[in-house]
This record gives sequence, C-alpha cells and structure tokens, in this order.
Amino acid sequence: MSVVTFWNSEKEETGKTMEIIAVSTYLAIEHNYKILIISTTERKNDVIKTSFWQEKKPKKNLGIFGPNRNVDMQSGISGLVRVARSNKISPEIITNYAKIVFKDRLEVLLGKDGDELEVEDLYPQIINMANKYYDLVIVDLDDNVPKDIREEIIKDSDLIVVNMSQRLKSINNFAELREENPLYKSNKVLISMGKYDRHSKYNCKNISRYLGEKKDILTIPYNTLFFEASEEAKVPDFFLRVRKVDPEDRNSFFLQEVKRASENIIYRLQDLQSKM
Amino acid sequence: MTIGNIILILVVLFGIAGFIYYYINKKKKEEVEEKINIDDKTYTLDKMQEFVKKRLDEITKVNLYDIGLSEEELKRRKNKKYELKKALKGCTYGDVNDKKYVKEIIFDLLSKEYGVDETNISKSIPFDIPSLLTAQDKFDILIYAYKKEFGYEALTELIKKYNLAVLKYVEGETKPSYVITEQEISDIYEKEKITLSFADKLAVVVQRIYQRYKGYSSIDEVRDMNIDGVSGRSFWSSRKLFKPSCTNR
Repeated sequence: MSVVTFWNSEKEETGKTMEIIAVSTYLAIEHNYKILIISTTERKNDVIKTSFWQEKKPKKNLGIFGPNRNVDMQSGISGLVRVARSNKISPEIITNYAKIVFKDRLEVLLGKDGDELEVEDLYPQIINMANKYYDLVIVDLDDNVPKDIREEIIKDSDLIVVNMSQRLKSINNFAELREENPLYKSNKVLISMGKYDRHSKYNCKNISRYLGEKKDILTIPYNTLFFEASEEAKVPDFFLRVRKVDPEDRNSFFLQEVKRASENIIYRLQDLQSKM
Repeated sequence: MTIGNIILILVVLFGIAGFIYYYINKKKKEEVEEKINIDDKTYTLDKMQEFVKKRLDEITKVNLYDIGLSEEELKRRKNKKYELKKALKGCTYGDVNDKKYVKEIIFDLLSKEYGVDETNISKSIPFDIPSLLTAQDKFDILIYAYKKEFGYEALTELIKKYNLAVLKYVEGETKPSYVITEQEISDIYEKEKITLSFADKLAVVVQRIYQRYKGYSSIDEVRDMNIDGVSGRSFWSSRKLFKPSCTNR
C-alpha cells in the first residue's frame, strides 16, 4: 500500500541497490509485509539478480519430454510491459512476472532484458498497479530512466530515500538540490548513505549538522560478508545467519544500521499515512 | 521355469532396452537446441510465419509438470501460459487488446529468437526499394504511419487528406464506383515519403504475419479502425487493392 523510491541525486556509485537489497531482505524476514522490489536497471547489470539467484544453465531433457528450447515467456519488466501495452495489466497479473525470494514476503520484478523500446513510459503505471497488490513497493530508480518519468515516479511515491556518498561534492550538490526543489525538504524524503564508513569525517552526525537535517540520516555500512553474499546469491542466507549475532561481532554494526534504516522507513511511512 | 522361458524373457528385455536406446539417440540428434538455418528464404514472410506458429505452439503446449518447478513457480507459469492461450483465442474474435498482446509476442520472437535485424528485414518486405513494394505493402506502411499519429482514425484521416471518398470511373467498368486504386495508393506513398526505423519496419512485418496467421487477412487493420463496417465479396474479374481475390470496401 506504499511506494518507497530509492534514488541517488548524483551519477555515482552510492550503494543504492545494495541498500535496497539489505533493507528489503531485513523487512521480509522481520516483518509481515508483502514486498515487491521493482528494478529499473538493465537486467545484465543488475546486482539484485546476482544477490538472490544463481545463473542457471538451461536444462536439457534429451528431447524426450518436449522440445529442448526455452518455453518460458519473458518475466520481469520485459514481460509485463507487453501486458501493459495491450491494456491487460491488473494488480494480480504483476505477481506472475515477479521472481520469488521469500514466498508471500519478498518478490522482485527484474528490469528490462535487452534493448526494448519505450519501456520506461510504463513504469508509473506498473508501480501504481503493484501498489494495489503489495504492502510495500520498493523502486530502485536508475539514472537511465528519462527525467520526466523519474520525476513522475518520485512525485507519486509515498517516501523517497535519497542516496548519496560521503563526498563533500555530493553533499553540497544535495544541499543545492534542496534549495531548488522544496520537495526534498519535506517529510517525504529521507537521506541515506550506502557503503558508509563511520570513521570518515563526513559521518552522519556531521552531515546532519552541515545540512541542518533534523531527521535521522540512514546508513548502510560497507560489510565484506554482505558484499560477498551479494555476488554469490547468498543474501537471504547471510541475513538468516547474522540475525542473532553477538554485539561484539564485527557484523553487528551492519545489522544494527540495517535495522535502524528499515525501522525508520516503516516509521516514516506510518507517520505520513497518519497525517494524511 | 524352463530355459526357453528365460531366453524369451531375455529377448524381450533386450528388445525393450534396444528400443529405448534407439529412441533416446534419435531424439538427441533431432532436438539439440535447434539453430535457425539461414538461407535465402529464411527471412521471407512464409518462413517467419512458420517459425512463429511453431514457437507459439511450443510455448502453449508445453507440459509444465515436466520442467520440475516449485509449486508457486508452476502456478505463475500456468497463469502466463493461460494468458497467452486466452489471447490467442481472443484475437481470432477480433479483440484489439488480445491482438496487441499477440503482436508484442511475435515482435519479440522475431527480433530476439529469429534474428531479424536491420540487414535482413528487407527480405520479407522490400522497404528499401519502393519500386518492388506491392500495393498492399504500401498500404500497410501508410496505415501503420497514420495509425501511429492518429490511432484508430488513421483510415479516415488518410481518406480525408487525399480526398479518396469520391465517385470515380475505373478502367473496364461502365458504372462509377467508390474505390481506392493501386495507383492512388502508390501516389500517396510517394507523396508521404515515410521513413521507417527498424522497429517500425518490424512492426509492419509483424502486422503482416499476424494478419495471415491469426487476423482477418488484408482487412485486419482496416477492421479495427473507427469506421461503420467492412463488407467483402469475392472479386475475380479485376485486380484492385490488397488481394486479387478480394475487394475491400
């Protein structure tokens, strides 16, 4: 029933997708929400895909049980776009094109597969439909989405999580953006930092002070095991393993911050909904 | 059990084993990831239509229980398969949305699996050489271009713009009639100077394959337009537009 869009204001690596993976996996494990991640990144470059599923080789059946060819119809955005173009899209149909991470908890709608045309125009419609079926729709908004569509998605979102890096230039650019566009000063926006280094001078306390930001700044620290798990399709296993980790463990800070980010998002959504 | 019985049992068992071995070997040779043999006729409309028909058959007739999917995955794949089956059925009754869906799938099959690209698409319809285009090709391109701009008002706009709804005398006939001739279509095509991208060309080819395979032949696109109706009759005496055996009014 809510749309949360993760977006970065700069064309740089901010760990946005990794943050989505961490937050959504945590929420799916700890809360009873039906979550859908919508990826707008091209599938071959998508970290989400490698975080949850291993590349499977097509099965060969020696031709005994039907033909040795791919008989699946396209999934993800590519498949769904065909349905949307033919005006047949409905909230229930979206789930047929999504991939399951945790049944009834976490599903992913992978991005376009190849160079399909005019896919981006249909994102707002797809997000809107998905919002009717899932409790939480998390949009990984990529830079390659045209500006007008990007703005439309941001405008329609219930909550916007703006990612930035710990670079001074990135922080200054965001400060400028806030001056230009009052939307980024509103309660609808949360600031977040992926690949966070708490020992940096630009830590969240100093950035809060610098930007005059009263809301909590969310952080997802760099964690070696998490990044390795995302390469090996073992993110769900990783979260289940480190769930009850000792506070002295080196992974506990990571988990603590993921928990803080997830709960902040949920709290902010509830707060916004109660004010509506 | 006599020796004779044992020998008979062995013979039967060897026979069955031999048959299974032969069957598997035969299937293995037949089916290993079919590659498309490319020759002069590969990218003709007939061959492409044959491929599309075969692939859609494979997709809709596959037994999903054989693939070894999880319960949830099986449910979703079944839903998708049912959706396609429903669209393939619905489009034959003239459902515009089902038609769009089936055309989208044909588009993907041709561009992603059959390998239709900028270099070979002209083998199906000679887009690059206007002199080789038939009246139907020209009309299909015109209606596609107009449809992109005016939607279902395309035919009306075309007729209005070139004042085609007038009584005219056609060679070999004594009475005047409302008719759009091959010559008129060719003239309009020349005047319009339409430039098509690869996606546009493929869309025209897809429409042609669709109308031959599932649609209403030459009147398929005309039928969808905002018009009062289409009536047709067999017409052998002279060749007009679209098809030698059919008039379109």
